[in-house]
Amino acid sequence: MSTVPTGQPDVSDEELLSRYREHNDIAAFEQLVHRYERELYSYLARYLRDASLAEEVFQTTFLRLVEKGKSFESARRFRPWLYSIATHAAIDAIRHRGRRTTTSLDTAHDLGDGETGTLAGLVADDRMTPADEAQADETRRRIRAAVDALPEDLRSVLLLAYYQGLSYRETAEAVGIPLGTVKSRMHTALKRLGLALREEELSQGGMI
Amino acid sequence: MNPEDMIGHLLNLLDADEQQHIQHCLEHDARAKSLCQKLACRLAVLSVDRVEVTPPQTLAIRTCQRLRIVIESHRSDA
Repeated sequence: MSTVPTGQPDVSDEELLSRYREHNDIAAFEQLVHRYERELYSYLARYLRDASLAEEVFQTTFLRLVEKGKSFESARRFRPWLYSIATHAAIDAIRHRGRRTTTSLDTAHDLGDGETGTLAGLVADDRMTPADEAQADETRRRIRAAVDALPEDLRSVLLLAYYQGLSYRETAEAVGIPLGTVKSRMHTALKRLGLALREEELSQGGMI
Repeated sequence: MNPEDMIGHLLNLLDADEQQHIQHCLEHDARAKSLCQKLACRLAVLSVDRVEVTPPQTLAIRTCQRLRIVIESHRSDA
């Protein structure tokens, strides 16, 4: 039975992977799984817009890491490599299902212990009033629709750099494109989002 | 001053030397400062959606259990 590792925050991701590769230290590998549980799941849930598929792809990503771990080049950084594998696994999952899933983050799903709720509800700030929350939900809905409408090459850069906080350089490594292309895609994605959100406000008669 | 690097500066996506360069520009160039403020407003609109999604309970533990089965089976095959 696996348990939550006590964790060694000073140990780098690369060192943990090296311990697994060189000494078959499964506990070190498991520490990576725990370390990236929230961050990677969050990325996949946003990328796939489907909670159950995100969970499946999260597990697939680490299974692939086990397979590919031996070929990891020690000069590489773990985090962009992890995102590269996760993104490819997500693309494969979408292809396997034959469509980009439309199960929304607002769809009710099992939260465990018999509770159900929505992902949007999970991210709501509990200090907000119901009116604030409704407004924030509406803004999030509009932003997500605009992000989903972006071409895939812009969307993937935006998700990695803006939402996940990967540096431009890490994003370039994860996606496998030049650094300058990452920068220009990020700028284009933000411009298009700004335009899309403004157009929607205009169509709704809102203020710019 | 290009907007790509300014966005990178605002989101802390740049290498340390680039970050320092932008900081220097912002202190000495009013146009750069104005561009920075404009881009910061654009990013602020999006920030309401920049939140982590909570994973399902015990996701990591269940993943580790699956991994152990796979790793053990690889070892027994070897």
